Amino acid sequence: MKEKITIIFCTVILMLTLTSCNKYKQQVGEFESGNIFADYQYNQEEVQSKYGTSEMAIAENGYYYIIDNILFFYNVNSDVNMPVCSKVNCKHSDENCDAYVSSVKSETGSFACNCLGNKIFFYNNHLYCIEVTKDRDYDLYQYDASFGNKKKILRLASVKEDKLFVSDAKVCMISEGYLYYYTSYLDPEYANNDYITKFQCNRIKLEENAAREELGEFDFPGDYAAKAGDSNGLAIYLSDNNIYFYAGGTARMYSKDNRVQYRVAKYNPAEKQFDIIWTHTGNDSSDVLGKDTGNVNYMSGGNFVKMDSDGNFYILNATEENVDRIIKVNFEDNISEVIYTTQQDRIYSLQSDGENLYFFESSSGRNTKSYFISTDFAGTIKSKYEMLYDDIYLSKMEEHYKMYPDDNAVKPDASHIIVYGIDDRYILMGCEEPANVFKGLKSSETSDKLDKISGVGVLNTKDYLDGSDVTIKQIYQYEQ
Amino acid sequence: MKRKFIKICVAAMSISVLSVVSVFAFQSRNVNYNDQPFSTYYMDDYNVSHHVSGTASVDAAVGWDEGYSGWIISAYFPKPCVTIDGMSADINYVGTTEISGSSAYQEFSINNTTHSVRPTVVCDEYGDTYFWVKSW
Repeated sequence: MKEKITIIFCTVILMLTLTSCNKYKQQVGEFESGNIFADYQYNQEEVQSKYGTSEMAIAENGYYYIIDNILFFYNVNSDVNMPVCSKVNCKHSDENCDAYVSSVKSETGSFACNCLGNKIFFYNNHLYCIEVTKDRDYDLYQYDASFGNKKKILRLASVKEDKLFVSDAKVCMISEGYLYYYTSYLDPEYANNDYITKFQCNRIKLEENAAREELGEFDFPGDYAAKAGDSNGLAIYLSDNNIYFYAGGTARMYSKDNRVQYRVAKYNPAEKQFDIIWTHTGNDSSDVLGKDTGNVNYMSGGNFVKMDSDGNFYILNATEENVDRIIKVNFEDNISEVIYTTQQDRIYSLQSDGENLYFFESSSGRNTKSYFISTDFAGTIKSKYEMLYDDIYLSKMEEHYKMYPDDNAVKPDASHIIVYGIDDRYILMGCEEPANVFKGLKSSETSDKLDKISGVGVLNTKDYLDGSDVTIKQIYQYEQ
Repeated sequence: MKRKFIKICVAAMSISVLSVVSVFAFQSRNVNYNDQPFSTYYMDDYNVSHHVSGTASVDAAVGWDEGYSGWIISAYFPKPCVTIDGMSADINYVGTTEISGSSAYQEFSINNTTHSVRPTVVCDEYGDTYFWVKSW
């Protein structure tokens, strides 16, 4: 009898052990482990976010991205999503975790951090992050693929030595062995100069002790960003063998003068030639991008603007009636045209992979619907995927509307969904807590912190573009 | 007689249990948070310190199933009063009030920038409500 009990007890313990480590793995489902993308050809130059800012770094076997200050790696072949931390009994939730990354904390006035702008790069089989010291030295650090073996590689800027700091770290881009990035001059008279200062367009070779090369410079407001580390409307791209530096904003936080300003510069690495190809300064947001193009707004800032491979920019703006549109602009040829007007209410989260544009389109009101759409660069829709709400949430809202026909409740739209990045294999997306209602991106638990990520999922890119019957495969959900 | 007495007791107990359950099955109330203050200090990249402060309010109706779930029936957030570095800020509604079950919030833009103020009200499964304001 005693033996039987012992056997049963051990079996139960064994079963519990085998099932205990699936916090980060959701639904093995119909995807089997193994290389399901056998035809995929990894090219590290092609995956460096050259058409606009991306929130993930792409390796040959998967994606690095950040959830609530913890660096995760999703292995595409084994379908495993894990923090890059191997500490035993680690809760992966704070600074004690080896995978913890953070940017500046403007509320405490502390600039010291290990991952400025939460920007990670993967290049030559190494991870890179920009670390800032308390004295505001900005250094590039290299790690191995497991986020270990940390090594300082380069000094990018120093407030103490040059009065320069790295601005908009999220938009830094690696291309052909160089890191391209912005710095800004910490002018002591900044607030007295109407919050205008100098911005430098730089590059630095990715080898130890290389020196910063300043490619060009322009004056630009620094108060499109409110807080330290925020986006100031800057972006960097590689298109048609040129590096483009973009700076744009329509509403300044502290000054009411010349609120609408843009600068676009082009650097040709082969000829080492830097030119400012477009400048705009004014107060009127109407037709800034060309005749009858509508009003630029906060979506026309660099963090939302994307490019194709032919030197064309794709910029969101709106009509007088506030209908969102996508404008295609070529600043050198002075050409602009409206290529897409939303049939819903809003467009969010514009992306480009050099072959297509991708974005969310949402209606509002009681019948809120959100779609993930892809178009070609002429604005013709290629694919449309409805972001479905969780069934339990939907039926609760339907009951709610029946009981309270006059109230003002609306369902969350796609504005809370983050597209971390896109490659030929998957579209990686996550959802913030206020919109913890979408299938494939939902957590059964809720957080009282509205900036927590409730869920992360992947959408097969090829199946999505082919119009096949696809669903978001969840790879992470929030747990307390 | 004894059997009848037991039957009556059982019936009475069943009715009272059901009554208790049905009393707790759904409850609702109105809740107001008026002119709740909020304040944030932060630095910009140029070592200039800034202060965002103001007050925010909400008129809401909340409901809850005791021990099971709470939810927001309706919520109205009037425009908060906000100053930046002592100067009055231009505040505008961004979209409509969003209600996702137990929480409701409204986003307001500051000076037509991407920076915003977001008052939020939450109701838990015991009918307790919480209100806070995030600005960033």
